[in-house]
Amino acid sequence: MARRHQSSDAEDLLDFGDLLQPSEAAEPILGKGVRGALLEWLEEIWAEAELIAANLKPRKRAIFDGKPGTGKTTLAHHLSARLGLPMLVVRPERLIDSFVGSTGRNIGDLFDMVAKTGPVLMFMDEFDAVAIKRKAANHGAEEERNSWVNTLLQRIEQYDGYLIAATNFASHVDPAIWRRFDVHITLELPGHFERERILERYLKPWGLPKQPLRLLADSMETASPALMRQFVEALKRNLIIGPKVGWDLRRDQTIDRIVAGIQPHPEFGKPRLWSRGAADAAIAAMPWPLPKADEIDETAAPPSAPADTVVPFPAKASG
Amino acid sequence: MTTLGKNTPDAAALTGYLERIEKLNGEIKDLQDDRKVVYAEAKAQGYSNRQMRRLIRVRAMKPHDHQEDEAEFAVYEHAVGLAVEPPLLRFMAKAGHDTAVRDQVIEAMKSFVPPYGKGEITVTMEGTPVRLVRTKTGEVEIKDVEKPLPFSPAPASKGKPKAEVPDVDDDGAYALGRQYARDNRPIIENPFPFGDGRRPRFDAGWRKENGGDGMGPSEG
Repeated sequence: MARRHQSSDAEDLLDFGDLLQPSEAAEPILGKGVRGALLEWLEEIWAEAELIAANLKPRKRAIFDGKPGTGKTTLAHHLSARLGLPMLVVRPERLIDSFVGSTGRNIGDLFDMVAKTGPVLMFMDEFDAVAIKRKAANHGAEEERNSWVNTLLQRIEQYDGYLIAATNFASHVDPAIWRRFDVHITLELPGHFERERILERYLKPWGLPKQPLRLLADSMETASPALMRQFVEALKRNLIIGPKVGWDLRRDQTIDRIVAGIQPHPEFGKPRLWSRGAADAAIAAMPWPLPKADEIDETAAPPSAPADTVVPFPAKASG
Repeated sequence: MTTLGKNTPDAAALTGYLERIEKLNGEIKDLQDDRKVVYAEAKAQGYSNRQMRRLIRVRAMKPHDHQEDEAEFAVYEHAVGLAVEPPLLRFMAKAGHDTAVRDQVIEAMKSFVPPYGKGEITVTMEGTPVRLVRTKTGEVEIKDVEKPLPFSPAPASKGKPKAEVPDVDDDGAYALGRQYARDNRPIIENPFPFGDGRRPRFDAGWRKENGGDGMGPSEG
C-alpha cells in the first residue's frame, strides 16, 4: 500500500518496524572469537573522540551473517543495550513495495525519519531481501530492484548512525553494499560450552546437574540456539501444564512427545537427540522429575533410569 | 450409391453437398460485406470501430465472466507497474473527492463490521478516519478515531526521570560498574545514557569486576 508521504511525525518510525528498548535485551551466548570482535568494536565506538582527533572515525556499520536461529537479533539487541540506544528493527516488508519507485522512496523515508528522531541503532533483518545483488535488467521489475539497491547504497553511505544488517544468505547481498559495512561477523552454531550455557539459561528455574547437562548438550550437537530454546521451553511447558491436564509425564514419553513436535530444519542436520529421542543416553541420565536449579546436589550419584527404557549409547568422553 | 465398384463415390450426392456449402460461403461473404457497411456507416458518424468491436465482445460474454476478466486484468496491470494504484484504492480515492460516494462506502462497509466486542473497521478517506463499531443491540455506530500517543524514541523521557543518572565522575562510574557486577546485576542496566562519557567507564568497571565481557559466561 502507498505510504503516507505528507506525514512527518516521529511515530512514523514505527511504520518501518519495532523499537526495542535497551532494558529488554538478553545476554547473548557466543563463541570466543565473535565476542572478542564485538568488544573491540564497542571499545572503538566509545573512543570516538580520540579517533576523531586522529582523523579517524569509528566503524558504525556491521553485517551479521549466520543461519536462522543463531542469535543475530539477540546479539544486535545486546549491542544496542550496551551502547544505551533503542534498536529499530526494520521489517523488509515495510520497505518493499509493488509500485514502481515506491521501495526506493520508502528507503529514503526510513533514513530521513531516523535522522530526524535522534539516535537509534538501526537493525535491518533479512537484509538480503532488500540489498539483493544488482544484475543487468531484462524487464521492469529488475530495473526497479537495481534502482532501489542504488538508493540503499547511497543512503547507507550517507548515514552517520549505527546500522547492523543481518542475513541468512550473505552471498545474495550486493557486493557494493557489503563493502559499505566495516564489520563483518559470521555467527556459527554454538559449540559444546555455549550449548550448556544456553540450556542452563532457558531451563531456569529448573536445572540439571553437571553430568546430565553435559550429556544433553552433547546430544544437541548442530542444534541452533533457537531449536534448543524451543526444546527446553516445550519441556517446561509440559512440566507446568502437564499435571493440570493429565498428560503422560513419564520422562521418556514426555521427551518423545517434545522431540516429535519440534524438528530442526532439514538442511541443518539432525542433532543426535532428534534421531534417537528418549532412547538417547542423555535422556537416560536425566534426573526425573527435573530438579529445580537451586536444589541440585552435585555430590549425589546420578540416578539410574528404569532399565527397560534405556538403549545403551556410548556417551562422548568429557571435554 | 452406384454399383460400379465398392469404393466408387456417388458423384451426384457429393456434388450436391459441395454446392450447398459453396452457397453458404457466398451468403457468409455477403453478410460480412453487410457488416463492413454497418461499421463504415458508424465510423462515418464518428464511432470508433475498435471500441465497438470490444463492446460487442463484452456484450457477448456472461456478466460474471466479464467481471472476472476485468478484475484479473486490473491485478495484472498493477503487478507489472502499469496501474498506479490497486483497483480498490482507485475506488477509495474517487470516494475521497465525492462525499456521496464516501457515505456509500461507509454504508457498504457497515455490513462487514464484526459482531459486538469482536472487532471494528476503520475507514480512512479524505484523511479523516472513522471507526465502525457494532453496538450491543447490533447496530453500527460511527465513531471518531483517537489519535495515537506521540512516539518518543528516548527511553529516559518516558516515565523514568532523568534523576536516575547517578551524579558521579568517571571513577565513580567505574566503581559503580564494579558494584553492579558484585550485586549480580546485568551490564545492560548501565544507568548512564548514550553519549555520556561515563557509560563506557561503567561498562569497563563491570567487566573488570566480573572478569567476563558482559556477553554471557565464557569458556576457560
